[in-house]
Amino acid sequence: MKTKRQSFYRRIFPYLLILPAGFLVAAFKLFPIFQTLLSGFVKEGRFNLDIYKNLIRDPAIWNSLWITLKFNLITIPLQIVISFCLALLVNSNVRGIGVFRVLFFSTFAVSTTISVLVWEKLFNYSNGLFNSILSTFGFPTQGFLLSADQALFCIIVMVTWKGCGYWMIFFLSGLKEIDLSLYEAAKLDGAGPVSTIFRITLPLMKRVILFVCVANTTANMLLFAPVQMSTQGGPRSSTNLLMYEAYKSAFKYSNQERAGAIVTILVLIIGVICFLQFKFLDNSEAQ
Amino acid sequence: MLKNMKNLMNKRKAGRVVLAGILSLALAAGTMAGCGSDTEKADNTGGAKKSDSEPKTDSVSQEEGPVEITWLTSGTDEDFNTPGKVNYECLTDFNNSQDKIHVNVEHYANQNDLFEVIQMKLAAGTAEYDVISVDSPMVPSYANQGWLLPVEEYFSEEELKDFTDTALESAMYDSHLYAPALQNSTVVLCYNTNLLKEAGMELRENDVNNRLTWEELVDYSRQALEKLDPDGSRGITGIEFSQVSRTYLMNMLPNSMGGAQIGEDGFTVEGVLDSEPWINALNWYQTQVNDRICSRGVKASEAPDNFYSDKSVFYVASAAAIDTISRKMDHFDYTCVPAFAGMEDKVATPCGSWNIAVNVNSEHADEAVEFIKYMTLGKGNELRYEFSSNVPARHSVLEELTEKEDAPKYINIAVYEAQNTAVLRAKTPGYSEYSAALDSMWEDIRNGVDIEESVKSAITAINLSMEQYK
Repeated sequence: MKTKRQSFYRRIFPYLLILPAGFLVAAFKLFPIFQTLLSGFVKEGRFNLDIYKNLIRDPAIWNSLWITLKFNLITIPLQIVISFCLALLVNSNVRGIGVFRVLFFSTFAVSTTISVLVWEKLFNYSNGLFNSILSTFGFPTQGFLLSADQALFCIIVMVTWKGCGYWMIFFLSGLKEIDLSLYEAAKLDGAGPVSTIFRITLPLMKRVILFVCVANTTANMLLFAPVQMSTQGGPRSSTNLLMYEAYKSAFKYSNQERAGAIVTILVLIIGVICFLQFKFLDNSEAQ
Repeated sequence: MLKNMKNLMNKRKAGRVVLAGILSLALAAGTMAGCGSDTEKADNTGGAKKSDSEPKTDSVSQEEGPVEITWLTSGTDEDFNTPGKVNYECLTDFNNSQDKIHVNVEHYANQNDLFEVIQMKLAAGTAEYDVISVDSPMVPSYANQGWLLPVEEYFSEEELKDFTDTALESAMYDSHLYAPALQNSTVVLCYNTNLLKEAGMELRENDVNNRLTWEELVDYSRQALEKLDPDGSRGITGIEFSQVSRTYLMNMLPNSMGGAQIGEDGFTVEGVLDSEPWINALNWYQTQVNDRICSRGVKASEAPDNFYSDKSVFYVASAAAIDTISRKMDHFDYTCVPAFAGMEDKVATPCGSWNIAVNVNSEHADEAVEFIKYMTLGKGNELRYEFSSNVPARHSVLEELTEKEDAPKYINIAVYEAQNTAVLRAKTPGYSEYSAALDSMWEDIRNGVDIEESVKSAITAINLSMEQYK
């Protein structure tokens, strides 16, 4: 009898312990997510698919989808490669390396508002630093944020500059986890620096890379602040990311249903990309 | 011994589990309590500033003091805290002149922030605000969504007749009065007298009956730039628009060639944006940008500073800006806006400004109406013109001001424009979407995008977004 009670107690008590946390997660995470997903299917109190039908025939959405994919296809690999290289650089033990670590990370500590304002000044068409340098060397003035061909790349530069230091920290912690004896053994076996990175460092960093990929994808797919501050989706809708389109629907046009539907689409895309990343990068079974 | 040790261990383990349980519950309770207290204490202003006196609870206010109402509006700290500033003067006078109603204010320095708060909070049915400042073209949108209280029963016919036609029209939607106008607006052409002097130029005599033409203005600008900044190194612009790439000001160009704002049904833009006046006006503007007469890359928020710092020869701005410009520089003058050559009879000037409305969910509607009447018809309205260069929205005030010997020049211009050239902004429940599409179109055209393509893209965007309102 006592054993039965004890076993019941053992089975139930952990759930009781996590119940308060579970309640909070349900109230503050799951409920808003569910409500957002639902909002895209409910119009005037009734379930219908009109919002999605309208989205499908809206060229602005297709354009935003393409812009979002293009932005992420460039930004995510670029940020990962740069942050990994930075992490390799600052993973040494030379004197003063801490200064460089802080320096590279400090870009992340700058607020988005300030960093966008600074980059806007640098990219300014009429009196920005870049155009001043270009004109000094006799090159024509560039539109940068005013050019439909260049604006998205300017945004990519802004977010990469700001984000790389942050992702570098994760890679650095991953590098610190690798047993130094493996490198020594590789060195004894005559492995060069490149083959050491590809045959030892990268395989052992797969879990960190997976985390950075998933987190970076989510962050960049949902990014919109630099666009809102600098280009407002222009010129010629060339920076009109899906998340910015959702923001406009929700906050400018009071169209919560449309915003909910766009966010649902975004969540689905993020889900698919993260699934693929898990499929190709997760090596927990092998380990 | 071993058994005793085991018992002790089990007791300790059980104790730890109980302790963990208590801690978890305490954590959860603490979090919930924290949430509760946060909710109670939350400022809920989203970055807005509130006036010094925080509202008391209803029960206290009903029993002990005046009814507290909250006014959601635009404006800076300086506007509400500095004697001599119009909003400070109005609010202080109202709160001190009677003891039944006390108005608190929540104000946003950036108008776009105010629009977002209105869109989010009023859509959620908040009763937090009683009085709301409404940008005049947004009246149909807010009224259509049921956020504003119709207030015609509080205004006599005589009071309504005192509003200028465009001001009254901007306050109405679907034959109901929703948001009486606080003030009106008009635009003037400012010019930097120092730069013109430096270029050795003088403008010809002109007035509302003998306006400068845009073509003349381009010539003046070209000549001035040749002398002042031939290689562009000083960064001087010929003509700057204070609200560049914004529908309010830029639409005056096609309007002044005879183009309409929107179709008569309030939804259609096909046949309007692609009409001859629009295409001609867009072409004219793009040419001026390409020729460096008008600026490229300068934001609307930067345009005023460019004028104050001698970077623009001509500056098309709202008359309300004259007060600010006077405080920033002494070497400027202004006149009425130009006409296109051969189209002097078609001159169109933007109008409409801020209106003021009662939240449909306000628990103090009567008090809120009393405040909006004070602001639109009472002393508050007089103070608006005493302490700023806003253009009155009422015939009686306009007449009174023009009769004054020391009446500022802009008042006479404003009276003429209000009676002869003022064009209301597009009256449509989808104004947000309309103006966003047009803002993008104007900016794209400024950046050299093909005009036909820009117009087509604006029409598509507006058509799609208007469907939900039909």
